[in-house]
Amino acid sequence: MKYSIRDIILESPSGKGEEWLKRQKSLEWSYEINERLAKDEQLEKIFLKREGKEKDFLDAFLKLGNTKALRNFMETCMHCGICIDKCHMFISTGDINNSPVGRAELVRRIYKDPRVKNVDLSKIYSYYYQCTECRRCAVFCPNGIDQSEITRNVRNVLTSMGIIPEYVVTTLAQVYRVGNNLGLNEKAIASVVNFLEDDLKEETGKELRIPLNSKADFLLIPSSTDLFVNTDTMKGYTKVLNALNKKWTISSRATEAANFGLFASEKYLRDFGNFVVDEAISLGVKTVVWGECGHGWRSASNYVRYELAKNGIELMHIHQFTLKALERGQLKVDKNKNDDLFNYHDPCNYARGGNLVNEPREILKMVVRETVEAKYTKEETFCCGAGGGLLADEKNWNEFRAWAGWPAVYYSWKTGASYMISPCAIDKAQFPYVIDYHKVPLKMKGLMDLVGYALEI
Amino acid sequence: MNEISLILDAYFYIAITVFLLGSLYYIISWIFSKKGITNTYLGFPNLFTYPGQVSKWDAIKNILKRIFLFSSIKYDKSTRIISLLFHYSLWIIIFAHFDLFLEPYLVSIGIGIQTIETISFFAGNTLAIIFIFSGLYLLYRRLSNVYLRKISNIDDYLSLILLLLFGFTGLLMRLLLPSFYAYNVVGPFISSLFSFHPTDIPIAPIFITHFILACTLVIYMPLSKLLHMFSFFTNPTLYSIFHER
Ligand code: SF4
Ligand code: SF4
Repeated sequence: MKYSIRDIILESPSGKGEEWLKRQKSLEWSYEINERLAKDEQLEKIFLKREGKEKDFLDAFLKLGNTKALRNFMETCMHCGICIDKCHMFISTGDINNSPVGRAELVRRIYKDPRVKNVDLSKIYSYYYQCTECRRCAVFCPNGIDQSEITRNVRNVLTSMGIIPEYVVTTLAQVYRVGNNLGLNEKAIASVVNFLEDDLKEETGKELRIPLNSKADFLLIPSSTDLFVNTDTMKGYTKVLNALNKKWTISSRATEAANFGLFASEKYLRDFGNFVVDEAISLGVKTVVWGECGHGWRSASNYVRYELAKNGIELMHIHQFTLKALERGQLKVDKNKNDDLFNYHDPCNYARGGNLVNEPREILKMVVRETVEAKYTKEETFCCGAGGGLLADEKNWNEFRAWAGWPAVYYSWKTGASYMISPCAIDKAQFPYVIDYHKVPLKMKGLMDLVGYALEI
Repeated sequence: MNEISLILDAYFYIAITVFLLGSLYYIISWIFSKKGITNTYLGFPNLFTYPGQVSKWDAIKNILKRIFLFSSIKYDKSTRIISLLFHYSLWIIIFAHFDLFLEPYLVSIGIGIQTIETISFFAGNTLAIIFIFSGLYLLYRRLSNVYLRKISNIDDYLSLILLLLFGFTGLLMRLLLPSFYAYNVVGPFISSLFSFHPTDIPIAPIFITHFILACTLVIYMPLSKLLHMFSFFTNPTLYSIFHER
């Protein structure tokens, strides 16, 4: 039997589908990503050492195995296989170990029989770093078994042993060093801000400020890539916040909506969340406004929110903030500025981890001429294929990730839209690459970009 | 009491005990185990997957739809229909076994014994046939899909085969034993077991086989994947919203 959804591979306009399928001769086929393991000097920067053997993994994992999530997920799977073809990683690779249940089996064998001695750690490492933690499997599993939670647990153990990819470690180290993934220090941020302000003046003829490190009511947390690469998104935020005359600021010490801690271990997740909380307190803000970043919003709305609340500070997503203003008529927009057909792609972590599905849709309807929905939307959305720390620019990996992102792009393309809209920093890096690889006639934008274009200021 | 009866009666009580203790152990451990060292799921207080699942009622609706309509299998149509048939026929048959106790009552309120026997003959056989065929399809599905075969273990086959044999011997009982056998012989025996005054087991090989299989299944349940029937209510992705932070 074959899984018919995998036929989309052959439909790639790049014509590379057949060859890609040919390379998947056996059931177990995947790129090893072991060579990307972080080196000792990199590990030091995030306070880790490479230590421990198979036995230590076993012990640590079994200890975690006493927790509610793992107990449930390890003990209740009925091997029905419903989840297999729901995972974009399986769809693109045809590798059973890259399906939710196949991945879980790699550790379930240990869990069910602790006498197992021969753990293939490099196999576990390889496949557990090919799960993008998107949770699509949890939506379709009749039991609701959430493979991303198993992945987070396994990675927690692997990370503590120093078994973690180079890309994730360098990113984590940057956040400890300067507070953002790109490694922008205060000087760099200040000059980017100046540049953007000049740009905005040219565009709109108005003095639109991006306050940096000032006391304010609102602290905006953009993705660091919004400052550097996706500058239209940053301009969108700026226009909205200025049009509303809010007292707002960004901070050079917390210029990162993303949280790679989610992809490594709980310690980093908390540390990075706390950086934002500390900054919000020291700037005396009342509200923290989160920028466009899928997994960042999952960490924020599930962790940072509660830490902020302890200090009487509210957390909002920029979409919630913008929609409120639009509904109250405080923002004037001209739909004709975005005169085309747009498809909204739900970033997996908004839809399945952050409870953010309606606000972006409503904003989109207000700022563009026409919208269209894809086959799998909301909680059923496909992952971009680069979450979970898989955005790395590596020779072997790049082709893999072009296919991992194919299901999402395919269904967006099939709507006939000219634009795929995805308000997520990882998507903004991944989708243009996937679109280009597959030669699909689609363009990709963030949502606040469009708000910025349509706003009359 | 003869020896066979003694052994089988004991087997019955052991089965019930193993089932109750085993299932309780799992259910309690799922509900009461800690979320994690910091009492969160690695930092998160909740794990729910459904957007808009902000009220408890939404969560309940979602869980009930999963349990009773198999709503999460919506993109695998044939599997959904056939596994719905499989599960529903099994449960109806199991509940229908209560007529073994209920028959005297039903008769006493004036429903003819002949009517009961006819209904249960036709309905029972139809359901058993549906159950057996849908079960066979599930077995075929598991064997014919290389991916599924790869992740299947002995438990997956054993559970299905035990259930199928259980259904098959049940059907044979209906067809081979004289009518009213269930009413006159099996019913009183089962009642005697539940009232803790066991009588001799009816000596009909097909019934004894069916009885042994039933007890084996009941023992096997908490040791196997059949546990999944309890897990819906304890799975943190589905019911996490009920947790206090
Ligand atoms: S979380 Fe996403 S990537 Fe990971 S196994 Fe599930 S569907 Fe696949
Ligand atoms: S859908 Fe759920 S129960 Fe079925 S095989 Fe996948 S994880 Fe296991």
